[in-house]
Amino acid sequence: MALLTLKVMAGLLQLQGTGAQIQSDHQGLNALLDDMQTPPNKQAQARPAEEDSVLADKPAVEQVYFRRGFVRAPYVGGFRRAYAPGFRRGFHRGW
Amino acid sequence: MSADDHERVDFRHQPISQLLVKVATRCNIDCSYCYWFRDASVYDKPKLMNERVRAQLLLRIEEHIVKHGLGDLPIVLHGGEPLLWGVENFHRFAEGCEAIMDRTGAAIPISITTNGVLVDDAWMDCFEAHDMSVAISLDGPEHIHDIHRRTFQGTGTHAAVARAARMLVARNIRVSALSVCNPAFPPQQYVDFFASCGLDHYDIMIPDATVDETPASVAAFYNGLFDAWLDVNRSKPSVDIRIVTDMITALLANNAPTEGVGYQPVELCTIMTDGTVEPHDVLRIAGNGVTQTRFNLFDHALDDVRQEPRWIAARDASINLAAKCRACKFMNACGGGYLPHRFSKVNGYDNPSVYCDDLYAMFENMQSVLESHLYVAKPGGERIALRDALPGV
Repeated sequence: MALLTLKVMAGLLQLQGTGAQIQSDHQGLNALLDDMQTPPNKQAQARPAEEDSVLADKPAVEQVYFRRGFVRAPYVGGFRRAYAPGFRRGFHRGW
Repeated sequence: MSADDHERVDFRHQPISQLLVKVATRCNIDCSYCYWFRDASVYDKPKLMNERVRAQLLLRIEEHIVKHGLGDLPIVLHGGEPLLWGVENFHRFAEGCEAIMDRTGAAIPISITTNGVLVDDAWMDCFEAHDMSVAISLDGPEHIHDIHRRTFQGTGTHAAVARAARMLVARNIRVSALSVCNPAFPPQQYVDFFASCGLDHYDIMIPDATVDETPASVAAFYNGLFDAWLDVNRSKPSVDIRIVTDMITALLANNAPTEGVGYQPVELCTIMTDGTVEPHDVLRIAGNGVTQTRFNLFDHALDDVRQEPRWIAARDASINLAAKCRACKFMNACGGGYLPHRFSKVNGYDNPSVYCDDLYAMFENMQSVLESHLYVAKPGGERIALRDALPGV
């Protein structure tokens, strides 16, 4: 089986027709799927599911955040959206 | 492997977007596994950041924000033990940042990484007043934590640290725990302990080691931790174990938000107590003086560090992977492992991680489990298991 990436899943959804979505009965995984499919500049905002976009299958070469320090905004219920918005990478989605 | 030219140009033109500030180079406890004191050159630096360096740092921060039009510049105050800098210095630094925020409109979120021993009401007042978030180093329950995290007199620190963690939770200060994995113990013991403290954000990091060492296998621990994450978040996303969520994100989305997982350039900028600027501080694991530069805040703007040869070498090493990694199906998700774990005296960073076999096993397990949990939902209500929807792809 191909490596499981959102791009592979996007291709799969195209095959399955309009309105198909990747979901999980596991709510933790569902929350992560939502966050991954949300453009970074929208991550701090509430957003309807239809706005989901699919990430590229290539690694985005951007800066990443230091794992020994946590900067985050108040917890708001999901995983990635728990963090401070506005950074290119990591602090709005990382710690 | 290098990223293609288009991608390299993109990130090379990005300004420094976070700072790791070492406000104290010494520590008040004596953890046996600490990377920081593996490089004795740290003793050549001033114990604490003085007022002159602090003022110059604030000046450079404002200059950097204005020059690059940044909306935000996160800062991690770090050590050694940063609380040795003193609560008054924290107030003054935070007030300086708040004045910059007022003048520029940019956000400067401040985080502290502390061993927690000194946390008291005055410190919590400070964290609260300046909306600082706190990462507390806590290796789970006492019988695990006190193996490595001890005082200079040899006594355990767990009681003091756990008390601090609970106080921070009780004050509703944004607190996360940073643990180091001890694979001799079940991951559930960490998960249960953090739950008992009310901590719902934490990381359990892979122990630091270079390729010249032979650390214990960690795959079984992390596969168990993934199972624990699945259990605790099954009906509601309530506990974030960072390494797990980072690995899932890295696997599914081909990127990860932090430097421990995934294929990304590491562009960390470390400010020392004397105002010198260095690359990633964990690279000290490679030995004496490897991170030292002649670059300093008094003669250079922050972004000038991007021209510094040792800083460039560290950044490039993070994206130039070993041949074995380039041929691996998990290359993008794994990124060759954590950069310091790729170092050897013979090859520098041109190695897979010392944990390569473990990381492969962890990603393989995670992919298999994820496939069993995901399905395609069609508008008419039909559900197709991912494994059935992807045959032969």
